[in-house]
Amino acid sequence: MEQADFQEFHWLFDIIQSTDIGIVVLDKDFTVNIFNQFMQVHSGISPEEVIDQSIFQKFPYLENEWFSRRINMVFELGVPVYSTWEQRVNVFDFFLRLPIHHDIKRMYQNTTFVPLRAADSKVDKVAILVYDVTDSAVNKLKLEDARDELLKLSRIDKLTALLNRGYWEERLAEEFKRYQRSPTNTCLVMFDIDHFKSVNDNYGHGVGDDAIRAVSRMLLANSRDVDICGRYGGEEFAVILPGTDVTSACYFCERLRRLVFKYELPPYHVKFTISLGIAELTPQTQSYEEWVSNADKALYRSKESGRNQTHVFGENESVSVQRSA
Amino acid sequence: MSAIQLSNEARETLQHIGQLAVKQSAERITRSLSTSVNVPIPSVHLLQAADVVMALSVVKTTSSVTAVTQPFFGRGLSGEALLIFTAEGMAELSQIMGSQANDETRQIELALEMASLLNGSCVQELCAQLDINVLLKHPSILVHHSSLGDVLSDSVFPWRHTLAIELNYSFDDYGIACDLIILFHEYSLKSLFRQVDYLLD
Repeated sequence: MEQADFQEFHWLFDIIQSTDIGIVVLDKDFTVNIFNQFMQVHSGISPEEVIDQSIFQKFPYLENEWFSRRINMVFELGVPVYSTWEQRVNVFDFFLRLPIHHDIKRMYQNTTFVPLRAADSKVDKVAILVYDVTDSAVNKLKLEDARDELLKLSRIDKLTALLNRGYWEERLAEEFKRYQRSPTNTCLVMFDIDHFKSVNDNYGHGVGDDAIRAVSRMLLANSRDVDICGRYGGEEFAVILPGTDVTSACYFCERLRRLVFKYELPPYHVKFTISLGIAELTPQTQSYEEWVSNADKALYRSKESGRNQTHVFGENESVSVQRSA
Repeated sequence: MSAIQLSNEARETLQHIGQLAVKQSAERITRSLSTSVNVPIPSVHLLQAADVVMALSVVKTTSSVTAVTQPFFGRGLSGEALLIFTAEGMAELSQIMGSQANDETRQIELALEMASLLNGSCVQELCAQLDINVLLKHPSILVHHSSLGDVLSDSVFPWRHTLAIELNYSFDDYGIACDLIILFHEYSLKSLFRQVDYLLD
């Protein structure tokens, strides 16, 4: 080799060694040809230990269908194959032991499998290029967490931890749409605290807030995971009961009504009641707005007939008289 | 205002080159997946930024898609390959790739794997026909089970034109179809058209 060529080769080799990208070159039978410094420092394996050996000697976890499929694809198809951290956290499972960034334990990697061609243009080796993308992966994951948290916050009523009006209505619209596709018994319950204004006036807004919180707690304790509980307005609540017929909805309402009736709000032992209205979703219900208005009408009947009771839309008698023991 | 135009000749040439590239890549896919691929006829459009969303047929008609983008760079040229699956396509995809599990992570992995196969071979073949070397970046998920229209309409593109080559793939043994759209940034158009002119001469 000419002196100049040799010098150039030496430089290229230095670049391969010092680059912050992992470079591994494999034969068709998985024998290691090149194992650069990046790979050495992160694996703790010296080149003498791997070169001219099967890659599986030192990395037994690579002996799987996923890895060999990729290598074979490069040899057979002659195109680069990509793997990203979103697909698979990494190909080479390197641990990052850092004093300050101690929470990041594993290296996230994007990996490219590149065909290396011989003079006859046949692929006879594959280069595995390993990019350390831990920083951007961790940032993206954190961002996703923050976005999820924000989304959650934007849907929850602060005072009660129930769904807020906006998100509850979205869910209502979804349930209405779902019913158009596959009708199953679904009931809507609207209820509010009776004479809430006088609770506020007599004991102050703090106690009023406590009453709203207490009712929300009883509602959540009394409902199933699938029930969609929201705070509709000030002292008004709304619950969608999927897969529930009118009879079961009546039980649900009466149980909640009695719970509230028995409850005494500390520290002044304030007693209060709720009035409820039920509307079942029927094929005649034209829109979800109409569904809400039906439940509201039933609630209004409960108010009209003396409060602390449940009415079903379309029925005259209150539930306490009619159905529940 | 703009002097950029796509002549009929250039369009036909690009279509032809696209077809050659697709044929090559289809052969590879057939070998890799052991199912035959119907070779699509590429459609070539010069799109205004404002029309991008409207012009992509899949984007218009389907509200929920999974899309993977993969940037590529050549000398004097760059763009992104966009691979789009419908929800049904995703389910079928799991079958093709011989996967039983239908969970989210697996689906994303499959979409990325498919992208690596289709985008890579297609873009590289296409540019090879034009005698341009390209490097592809890693594919990444742009949207998963949501509307691509929403994502694209949200951004105000700072460029005026893009050259889009749209390929609708379908696989023989399955009902699945997916769309590969290769978008070239407007700064690439000059060198792209120059290479096309060489071929025309």
